[in-house]
Amino acid sequence: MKLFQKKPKDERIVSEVNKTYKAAWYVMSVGFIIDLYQKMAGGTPEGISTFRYVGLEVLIFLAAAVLQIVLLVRGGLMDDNPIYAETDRFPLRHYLGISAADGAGAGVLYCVCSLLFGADYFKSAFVIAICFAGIFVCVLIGCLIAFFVTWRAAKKRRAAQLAQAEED
Amino acid sequence: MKNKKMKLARIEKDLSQAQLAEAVGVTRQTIGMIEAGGYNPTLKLCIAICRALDKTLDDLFWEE
Repeated sequence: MKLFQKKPKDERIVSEVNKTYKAAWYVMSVGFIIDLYQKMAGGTPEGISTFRYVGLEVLIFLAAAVLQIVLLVRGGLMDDNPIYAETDRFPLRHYLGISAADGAGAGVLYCVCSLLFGADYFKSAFVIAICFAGIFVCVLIGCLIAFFVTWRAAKKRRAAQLAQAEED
Repeated sequence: MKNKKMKLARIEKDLSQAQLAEAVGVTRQTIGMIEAGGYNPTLKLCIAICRALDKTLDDLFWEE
């Protein structure tokens, strides 16, 4: 008898999720090659000197993340976790927990970075607490809204896919 | 192509899509997609479905 029984995974969801990660990985690979070339050649690309350059790495990362989410939703999936991937009811507690963790993480990162890099306004504990609370609440609400919108879009897409398959 | 044989076998066994899904360790949507012909399952999943419905691979997945 096995001590730990592995929970069976839905092969269709795993295969769909793998496809999305693969596409995102290709985007990141190509993007990082372009970024490496740009750094080796030196300087910023033409036409973006008029505004603040945020770094190609950030744009590549965002593009890959957005692409992955779009592909997941197109496949009718909400999450890469099979338990929540195709749920018909919005798992509020699960996503509230994730949003709160994201908010706390973003708040702590911002405060630590501001302290490390010596921001002038970061002198009193009160200001730090206000900054942390502000970031925490904003990220929590933002993430929760984003999760809900994604869930709704995935649910609609899933229903359309099933209807289409039944029609054929 | 729809898999009517599997749907009939499931109904004969008096199982809902959700119950069959739980028995074979997939989601209800996956069973729905297999029955509707929207997903081609692996051999491993086919065998699990056959075992759950007391049928053979030929009974459920072989097209004449």
